[in-house]
Amino acid sequence: MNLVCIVCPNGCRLTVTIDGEDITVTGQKCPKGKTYAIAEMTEPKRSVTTTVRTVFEEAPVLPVRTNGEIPKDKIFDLMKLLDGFVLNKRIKRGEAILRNVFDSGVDVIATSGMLMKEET
Amino acid sequence: MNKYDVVVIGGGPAGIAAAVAAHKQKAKVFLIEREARLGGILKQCIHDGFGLIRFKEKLSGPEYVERYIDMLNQTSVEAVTLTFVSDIKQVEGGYTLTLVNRNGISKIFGKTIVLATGCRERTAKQVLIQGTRPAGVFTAGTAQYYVNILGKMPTKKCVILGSGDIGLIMARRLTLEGAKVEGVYEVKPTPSGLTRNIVQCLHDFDIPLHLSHTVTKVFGEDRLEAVEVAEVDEKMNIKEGTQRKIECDALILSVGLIPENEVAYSLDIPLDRCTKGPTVDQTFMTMREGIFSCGNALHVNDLVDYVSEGGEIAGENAAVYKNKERKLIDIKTDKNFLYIVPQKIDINAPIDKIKIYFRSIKDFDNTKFIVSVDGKVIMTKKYAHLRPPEMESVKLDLSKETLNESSVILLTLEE
Amino acid sequence: MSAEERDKLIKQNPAYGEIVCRCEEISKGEILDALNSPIPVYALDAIKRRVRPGMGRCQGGFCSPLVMKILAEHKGVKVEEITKANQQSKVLLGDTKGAQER
Repeated sequence: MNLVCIVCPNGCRLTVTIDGEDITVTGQKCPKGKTYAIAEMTEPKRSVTTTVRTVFEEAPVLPVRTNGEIPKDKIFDLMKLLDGFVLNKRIKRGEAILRNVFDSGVDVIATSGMLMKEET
Repeated sequence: MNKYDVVVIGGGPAGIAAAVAAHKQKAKVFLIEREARLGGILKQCIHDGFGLIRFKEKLSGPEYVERYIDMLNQTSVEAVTLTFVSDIKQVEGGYTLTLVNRNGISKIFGKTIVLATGCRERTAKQVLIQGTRPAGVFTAGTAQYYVNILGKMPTKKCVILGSGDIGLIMARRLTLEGAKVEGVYEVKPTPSGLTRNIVQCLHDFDIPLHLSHTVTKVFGEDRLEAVEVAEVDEKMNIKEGTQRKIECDALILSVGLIPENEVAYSLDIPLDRCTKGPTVDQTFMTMREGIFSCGNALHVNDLVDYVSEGGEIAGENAAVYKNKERKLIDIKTDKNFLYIVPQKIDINAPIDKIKIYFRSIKDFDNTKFIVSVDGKVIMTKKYAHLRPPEMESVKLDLSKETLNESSVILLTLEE
Repeated sequence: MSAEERDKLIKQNPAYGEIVCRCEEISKGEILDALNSPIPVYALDAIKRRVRPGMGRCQGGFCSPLVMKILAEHKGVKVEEITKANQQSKVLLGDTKGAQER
């Protein structure tokens, strides 16, 4: 089966053959492609990027993302979880707002430091 | 009047990279940004995929640009926000700029200027859709601002016209926020965005992509109620009988980006017809002495990593600019290129580390990129796949060649 | 207006120095003037006709959200109450994060 690797801009066209328990991947220019293809066939994962509500007037929403990939079928579960989240702390870029979502080992982190008061 | 070696217009990823690079060359730098915060368009690009080349990490837009803002804060570059450049005049030794902000009107002098003003979106007006003018027609970037900066939803069910990256990204974003994206309609027979966006924004969410289709009509007096789509032929004419009405409350347009070059018009800076940005040499100086260009104002990029790189080239060269006489030769291309940047080489400037950015005119498999000087092949590079939406970059070293004004530098793509 | 006159105006009222529509170089002050006039108008199209933001190259792509915020703040309502033209032409639906209701 053919797929396009989405790990980096190269977008290598991969061919995956499954023979029982053996998965062969060809077409990748780097090892990440093989890892991606195997994951796609067994348990596809994705990173999720979105925003969360805050109590701060200057930033009604703050951008966040998962700092790794979660199972693809958990994307909307995560969105539902974050729907109810309201940030009331001024956190730094990179700080986690939720840890180990769905026992994936992946955190949800802030991707902007805009809430931090600037020192003038 | 305060005097600067380099004045950078635009505080997005290109401008900030240019300012930091100019500062590194010991120039006195002034950066002007019209919005309230630095960061340019990346502030609203909360999706990831930025920095894979630069930082070898998959960052979101804000993360990528804030790393550069952190670098800027380590320098003595003077940066002002919520400030608008109202006028630029050429004077002896450089340019005077008139600035407008809440403190009043002021003037500064810059020996050189770096134009890093980004781009704007092609509008509904330019796509000539018939019908009424209801609320509910948005360009994808404006919709993105509403969702990611203001935290507001512009739609419950929408149709997206154009398979450019912004449209694809918004297809996913709106779906994640609970809207229904009925489909993405693309007038060309091939998609306009990055392949990985087709996969992770459309395929992942079962959003259909209809190629060779366009939106022909909008319905609704006050708020959009429906759109009509139809199939088009190779000449992009509507195929009668293929029209279909789709109920929706929004039409999102992702139909192209246009470099912002009003300043270039006012200073008579020649623009390249294909890129819509200024024609430049390998130092990214325009055809106007002392004025440089970078980022999306120079040509619309797909990867911000190349935007930063271009910003560095422009900033570095603006900082060391000496008003030396240029000896410019055109870089010629065969018909397989959509465009190249830079378009000219100044053989009086360094020619050992030239960066060339290009797009192929159509999809190519297994191609060779060939550079020849006066008929002699001096460089080849193989590409498994070339697509117009995926811009490529190559390093070129011409220092070993004997070049003069009549030398012919030719780029070709051979399958 | 000369640069000196414009400078004086801005120093009296800084809103005239905050450029909202960069295609037509229109300031927040000019938009507020239209809102403070005897016949205020609270729709995007009406502001566009009176003061011109949205008439330029980007056709409101950059300035519409900013103009809507100014209108909402002046009127004391949420930005999703702002219309393009008449009462039935609201631009926004409400907050994000309302996926459950949708």
